Amino acid sequence: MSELQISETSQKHKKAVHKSIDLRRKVKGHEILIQGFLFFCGVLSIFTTLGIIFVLGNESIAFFTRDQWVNTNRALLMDIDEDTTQFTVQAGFEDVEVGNTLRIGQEIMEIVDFQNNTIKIESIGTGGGFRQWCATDADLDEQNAIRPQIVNASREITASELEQCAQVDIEPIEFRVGTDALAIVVSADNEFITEVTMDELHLIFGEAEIWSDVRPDWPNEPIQLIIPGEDSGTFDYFVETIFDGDASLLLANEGDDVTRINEVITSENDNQLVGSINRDPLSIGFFGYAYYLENSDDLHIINVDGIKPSAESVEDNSYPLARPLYIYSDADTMQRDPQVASFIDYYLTHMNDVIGEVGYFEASTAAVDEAHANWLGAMGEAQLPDIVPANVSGHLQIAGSSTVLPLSESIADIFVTDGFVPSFGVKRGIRGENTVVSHAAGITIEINDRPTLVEFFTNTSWIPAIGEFGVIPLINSTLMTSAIAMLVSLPLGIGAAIYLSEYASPRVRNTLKPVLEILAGIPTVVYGYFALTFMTPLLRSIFGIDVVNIYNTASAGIVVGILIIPLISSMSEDALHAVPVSLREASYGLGATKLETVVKVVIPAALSGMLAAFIVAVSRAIGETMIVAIAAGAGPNFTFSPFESAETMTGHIARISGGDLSYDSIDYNSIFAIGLTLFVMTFLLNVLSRIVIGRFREAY
Amino acid sequence: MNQEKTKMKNSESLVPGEQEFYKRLQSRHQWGRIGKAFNMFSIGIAILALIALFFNVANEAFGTVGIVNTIEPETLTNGRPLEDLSNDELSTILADNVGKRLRVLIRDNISQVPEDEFTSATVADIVGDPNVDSAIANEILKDLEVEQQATLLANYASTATLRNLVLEEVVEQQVIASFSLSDTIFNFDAIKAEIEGTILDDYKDKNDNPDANVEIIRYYSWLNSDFLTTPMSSTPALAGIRTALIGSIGLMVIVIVVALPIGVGAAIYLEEYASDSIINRLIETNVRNLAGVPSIIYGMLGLAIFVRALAPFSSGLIFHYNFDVPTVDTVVNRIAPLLDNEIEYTNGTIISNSDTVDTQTAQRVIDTFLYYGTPTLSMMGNSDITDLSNSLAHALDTDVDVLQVRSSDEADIEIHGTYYSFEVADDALILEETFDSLMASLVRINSFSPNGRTLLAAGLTLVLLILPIIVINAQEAIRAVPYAIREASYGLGATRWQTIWNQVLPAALPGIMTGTILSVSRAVGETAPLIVVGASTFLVTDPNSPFSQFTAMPIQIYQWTARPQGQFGDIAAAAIIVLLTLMLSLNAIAIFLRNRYSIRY
Repeated sequence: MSELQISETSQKHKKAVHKSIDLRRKVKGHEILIQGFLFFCGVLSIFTTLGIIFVLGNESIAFFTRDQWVNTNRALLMDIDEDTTQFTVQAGFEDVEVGNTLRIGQEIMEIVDFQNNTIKIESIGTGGGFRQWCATDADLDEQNAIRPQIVNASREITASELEQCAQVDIEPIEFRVGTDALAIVVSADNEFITEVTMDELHLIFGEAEIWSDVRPDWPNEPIQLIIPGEDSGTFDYFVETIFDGDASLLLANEGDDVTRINEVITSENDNQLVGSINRDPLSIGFFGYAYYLENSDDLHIINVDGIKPSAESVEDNSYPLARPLYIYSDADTMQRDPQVASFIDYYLTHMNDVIGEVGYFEASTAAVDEAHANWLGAMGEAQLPDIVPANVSGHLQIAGSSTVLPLSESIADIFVTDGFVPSFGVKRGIRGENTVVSHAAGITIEINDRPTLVEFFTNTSWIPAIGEFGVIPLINSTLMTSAIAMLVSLPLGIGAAIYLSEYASPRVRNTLKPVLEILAGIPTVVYGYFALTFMTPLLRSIFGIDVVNIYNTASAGIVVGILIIPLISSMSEDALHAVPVSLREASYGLGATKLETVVKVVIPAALSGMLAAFIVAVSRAIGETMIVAIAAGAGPNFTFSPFESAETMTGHIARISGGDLSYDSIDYNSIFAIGLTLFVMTFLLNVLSRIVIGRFREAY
Repeated sequence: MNQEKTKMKNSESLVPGEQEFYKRLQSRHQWGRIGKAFNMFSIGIAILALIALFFNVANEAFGTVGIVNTIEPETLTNGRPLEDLSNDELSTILADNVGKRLRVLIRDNISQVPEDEFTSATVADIVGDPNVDSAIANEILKDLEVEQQATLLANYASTATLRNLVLEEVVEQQVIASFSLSDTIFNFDAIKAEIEGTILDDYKDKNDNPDANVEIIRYYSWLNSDFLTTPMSSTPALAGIRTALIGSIGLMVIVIVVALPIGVGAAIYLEEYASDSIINRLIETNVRNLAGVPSIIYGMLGLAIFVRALAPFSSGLIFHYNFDVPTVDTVVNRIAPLLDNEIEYTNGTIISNSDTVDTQTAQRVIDTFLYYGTPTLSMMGNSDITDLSNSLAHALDTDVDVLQVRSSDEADIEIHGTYYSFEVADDALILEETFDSLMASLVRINSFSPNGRTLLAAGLTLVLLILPIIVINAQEAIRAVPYAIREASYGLGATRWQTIWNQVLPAALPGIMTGTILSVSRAVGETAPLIVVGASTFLVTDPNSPFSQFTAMPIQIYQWTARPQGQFGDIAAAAIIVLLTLMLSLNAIAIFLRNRYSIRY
């Protein structure tokens, strides 16, 4: 019975106890809610990080994929309606490729076909033209020049030039395009000279110093020669005709056998020659007849041997200073670049239509026939094909004589007018909201110039207004201010930490630590004010006002350094403090001085913590904004001088977002791209500091 | 034999002789002293920097100023001192000199009605006195003669107010010279001579005011009661920090209200609930990493999330809070009374059927538009300001020179941050069609989108910024509570939450509060994130709700520091003193809490 009773009571008791200690049942709904809320609070930090990554990443992607429309100053040549997919434009484009987009008005089109039909004619003299044509690739690269496909020449190619061409496997083919008469001209104010003989020309441009040396009745005044430069075919031709190829007399002022009173004035620019001759009544010069015609009001032409240059006198060779004009090309080029062959064909067919207007004289029929034959020979065809310029495509590079230039230019003009213009084939309606509309001729074309990742990290200028987005100058100045800051704060911070941890008595330490805490608690904008109104004037008084800019990275860097001294010293001091006293005592026991103990025992033991302090400090210096925004200056500047102004990444973000920032602008996107770069840099540094603490910690 | 020799040599070099030992010891101690000196020097530099910083601020915030009256009071009063004049005489002086601005003075000084009803209110309502002269009681203020308005002022404003108004509006004191404290102490005679000599002459030449006298105040404090109570101004001497101070306090309140519960909650979760799972370790690491993210990055987060994505929330739109987020209707209703309610709005064009539009009205209407258009305008960039200027110039017919800029700034339109002010010349004749096209261009330009650049958005940004610091501090405070206390609580049958709420939190509270206050003090000093989220750089109205545009003290300091004129540097220093005082008192509270309530176990 008693057993039973006992067991009963014990069961009762058990039940009661069981009831009262089942605490878990007491957990009410609200506690679960509370726990849920607390968990949410914890998770919020993860949302924050994700938010940062998402926002920065999202806007950075927008930055790199955003259309950046750059005005090209090139316009539509024709009206285009909704159905047009092929149209021509005024001038060529350098950096357009198939697959790019372009914008006309508000409509965006994709380029599916692009013919960059352009003609470029350079005036570098006949000799210069041949030299460039037959230069080696290496030489061309060095001079940053392009090999012409056609050379304008106001004389025949010489043997030595042929030889040079042979070295680069160019076999020049000559096309006679007309005849130029060399005009001997004086100022319109010159009244004493109307005609000369060939011998007198030899004297005037040779030994004679004053006019009366040539004819006694001419004035007793020095002769001023104003002539084309040595690179021009005109010069070569003149020297060939008058001096049998010996230029030394003409350029005697450069030698010393004949001394002239006035220097010979030379210029490759014919208009300059015209002006100079016109201004000086005692001057004389020569150049192509075409230039005389253009400037016949300012200049007088002189008969040579009694004959005035004209179509007849040139044709029958009675005018002694007439010369042939050529263009040169070679068979390989003509076959490889059909536009060259077409252009020469067109040239030969149409040159006689324009040559009179240009001021030259037609070449004889025989010479033109020979040129035709040369073309047919080069192309292996039987008959000159009819050229429709609109069907020709490609780029034409022409260089050489300034004498042939006007002729080639007018041929090029009619070639372009007849349809040799850049043209686009496009796909319309490529984007959903982008409506296809018609556009009038003359409207400007914009091309898309998106910043690329490569450009972002390699371009050394950041000028959003012209589409230059290179983050290097910003990173550079950020690193500069950070480096200066570390130079200041690292020794001082560690010194302060060692003093507080190893030397200072507890009383001194308790007084000094709050001072450092105050230093750490001062808002950075106040430090910015300090940098601008105290540190900068100080630097300027030390190094000179001319040397130190008002806004400079040195001042900002030093003050950032002062800002992070407390950070380094407090983290380092914690690390030093964690080193067990027994280590120090062991060191003292071996007879080491305090400094030796600190340097050889305590610091090595605390190294991981101090290294982490260093890394965190760098990260802080990189991310510091207000000091650099105030004191380092506005405007990205790629410089290594600490006394110049240079905007940092953070300073740029602050300045751009502080202005009236449009959310729909590349500026807005760009600060997020900079922000992402900054975030990655500081994040990596923070992670690194954690690794350093974990890996190199000396456990005691 | 050889080996022995080497051994001897080695042992010789390892253990120096006595003489050698003392010599080396001396040098070692020498190095020790040098090392100690360097370490002391390091901390000395830090202290020196702190002293230099404080000195520099004080040096600029106090000093000597030279003040000039644009119009000498004696010339206004025929030689009688200003103090002797009666109300009527003072208001007559005002009426003679400020003309149409008198209405503004009435609005700012004696009006009893809200600002937005002022233009349509009757005189009786405005002065809040039904017994006012019955001839004008039911008139609208702008219909009164200037003399009648002056009488109103004389009857309803105090003599002191009137005297101040005369000083501010008519006498117009200007600070023409400002010197630092150190100059004032050591060089006063020289600067006195300079102010009375070259500076005064320069002023006389530039302002065509040959009778000007300069009053020199030695030991002038830029930090004075006016500085704390007046809003921003483009004249340094008149500028105050009131709006910025209110903004900063507003930010502080938001930060404490939002960040404290979340931060402490996260700390409790991490310390009391979290098991050692991956997600909890991730949270822990993440909090520590977030503490190292540069503050400007938080600003960008705030800009993208709180200002833009959550604009309807942060601007108060979803709460139907119509402070800074007007619809077109709001604006139309607001300007209707100005145009005798003769107004019609269709398809983006406002047509006013009012017969005449006087220049004052036009000015008010344009200001109303610009004020409400501010959100969009501020986002449109400088090119659009030019557009706006052009539209206005076009609409108002520039031939009669109707577009004038209020200040002498070089730009066509002065840009006060996000507020653009125009003045229409008094003699301008505005045709009705002109006015309509002006309305149309303004309506077109202002699309009235909600503006998320509010106190709330900035406050939440700062919350995110200091949350990690609060969490870390609170974690430490909670960790410091001995485990025995929890076990005792469990032992008495308390649940986990009861333990936390009744035992752990009270014990950790002083530590948590200290950490929180220090974090809030850091938030108060933060500038970069506020710049990025779009603090106003020129704000004269006090922020009166979380959905107001705002500015804060660090922003104001930054603005003033960035300006080239010297006197802005002085008021920046004064503002720094206010900011530092605020922060140091917060820190003092934190230290007090720590010392008074902290429980030692």
